[in-house]
Amino acid sequence: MTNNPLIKLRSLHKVYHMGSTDVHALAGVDMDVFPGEFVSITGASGSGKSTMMGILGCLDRPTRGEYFFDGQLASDLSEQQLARIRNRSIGFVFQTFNLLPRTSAAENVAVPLFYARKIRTHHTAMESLKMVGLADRAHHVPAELSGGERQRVAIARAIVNSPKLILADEPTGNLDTHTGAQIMMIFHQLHANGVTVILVTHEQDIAQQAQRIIQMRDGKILQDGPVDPEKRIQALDATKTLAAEKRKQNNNAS
Amino acid sequence: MFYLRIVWTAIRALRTNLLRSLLATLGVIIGVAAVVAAISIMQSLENDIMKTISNLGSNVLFVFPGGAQSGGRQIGKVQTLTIEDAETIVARCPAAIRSAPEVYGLSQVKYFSRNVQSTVLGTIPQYIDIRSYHIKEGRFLNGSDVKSEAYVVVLGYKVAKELFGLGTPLGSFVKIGGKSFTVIGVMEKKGVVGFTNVDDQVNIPITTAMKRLFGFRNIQSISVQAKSTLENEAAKKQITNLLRSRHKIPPGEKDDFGVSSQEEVVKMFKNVFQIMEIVFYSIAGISLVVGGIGIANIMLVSVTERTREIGVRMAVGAQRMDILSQFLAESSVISVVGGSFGLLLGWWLNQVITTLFGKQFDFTVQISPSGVLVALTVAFFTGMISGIYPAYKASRLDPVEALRYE
Repeated sequence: MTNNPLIKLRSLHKVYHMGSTDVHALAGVDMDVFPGEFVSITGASGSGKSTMMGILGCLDRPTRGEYFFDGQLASDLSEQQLARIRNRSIGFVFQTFNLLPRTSAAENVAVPLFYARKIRTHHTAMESLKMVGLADRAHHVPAELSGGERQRVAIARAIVNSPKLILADEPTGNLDTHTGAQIMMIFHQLHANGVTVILVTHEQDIAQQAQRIIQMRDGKILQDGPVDPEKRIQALDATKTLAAEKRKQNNNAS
Repeated sequence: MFYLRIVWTAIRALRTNLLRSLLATLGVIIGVAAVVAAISIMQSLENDIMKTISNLGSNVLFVFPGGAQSGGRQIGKVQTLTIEDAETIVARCPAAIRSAPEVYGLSQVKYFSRNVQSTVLGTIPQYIDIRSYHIKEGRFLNGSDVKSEAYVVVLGYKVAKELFGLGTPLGSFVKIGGKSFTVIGVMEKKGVVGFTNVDDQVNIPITTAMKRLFGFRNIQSISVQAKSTLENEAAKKQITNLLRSRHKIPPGEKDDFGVSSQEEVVKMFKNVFQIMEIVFYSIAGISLVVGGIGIANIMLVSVTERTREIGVRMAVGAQRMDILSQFLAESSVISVVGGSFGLLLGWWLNQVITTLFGKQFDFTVQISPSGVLVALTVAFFTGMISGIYPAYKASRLDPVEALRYE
């Protein structure tokens, strides 16, 4: 972690104009995230975490301040270049999965490949689905998949272009604990493979599985520090157990 | 490759909402059907009428009352021509070899309980030679019929068939305008010449027509046969000079009659066709505009409905241009598909029209390849143009807000 940060924020501000009042969603954020880190961002709703995710994901631009992604100042980049970064370097995972309806899992996963102008997308999409253990469901549409399966498809879509950064916004928020644990195991797997993961959550036992927790309040960073190793091991163990139970259930069911 | 996939994506998106897509494209379907029907009917009619005009004979001139217009349209109600005018033309114009005065009227022709509405033409024996018509049975009018104002009639082919069926009408009596006429002949089948179907026409001596049937004092037209096509112009000049002096028109004043040749009649028809074409195309154009608005409307709804999808696509790397292309592809595909349905509908309409009127007017409607091409191209651009605004709107969405859209 001695190399350059993948993400560097310097006195980042985001102001929304709501009628006559200004809302400071982000009020001066400084933060560095290095390649290979696993970071949780927590905070109450309205603390600015979603706004931050939007900016980190190059979907939104800050009102003031600087955001460097992989050494590049994002505000210097054109919309086209930002779209390219979203396509190649960032993978999004949403709370509500956001899969395209009436489109098979494999085709959903292939969407980023499509915008990357890649050919032979089916093969690559299948590889990605294999990574999340869903190759056998490739031809099912989202309506035929369970919540956990949908989120796995979404993760497969996020990693299909081998991004440097995964941005997950409450990825387990719509799932039961067992299924959520299963999803978390995938993130750990990705992290182990060297992908940088930033995860927004308000659940403590999820947040503590990361290496580092950033706590936000009122658009500012309240606390930023490593997770207590003991708590982390506890949380990871609990997740492993839950995921194993889930696997067993599935095996029994099938 | 990328754009092929964009089109494929568009087709899939439209298929998932089939009924709505079809409704959106209804206007285009109707518009294209109208274009197809218009083009093919116009072309078929034009071909047909041009053919029948050439039936008139290229060295036949027409003299009609009223001022001559450019393009030869007849105007006014001034009745200036007389039988004597017609007679003098042959005597005094070296370039004219025959002439026949004509009067027309519409009348019922009855044979016992059967009756036919037909055009009654009053003329003289030369008429049949000028127009190069032929007699099927019996004889045409002769000089003494005209002189004696005889109640004799030569039936058109179709009139004879409808009144008498397979039997011969010769010697029978038919009633025209309440008066009894002896049938002396039947014309050979000829079809449409100019505006009239001569098979629907009956021919009687001009004297009988004017004095006993219609009570006309003037004639309605004179058919003149020039020596040859080359002498059309000469004949025209001679007729004009002759009639001006006969009608005592001082120099500098306008003619109170007109002379036109087949060529000019063709020109006149072309003008009429042009006007009809403009009308047809305007109607088709209006329905295409309405169709375009329909598509734009549905596309706008679709963009709003799929706001979240657009947000997701942007999040995973779609450029604004990609979103724009996708929606443009959708509106174009929808429109071209509609256009194809429109073609089918237009083709079917043509079949119907051919079956209904083909026999009556003796024409067949065909779909021309150029019509198909024009229709599909027009449909494609209708879709493109009406898709521009919705697609632009979609491409300008803020991805953060789009993702949050419920």
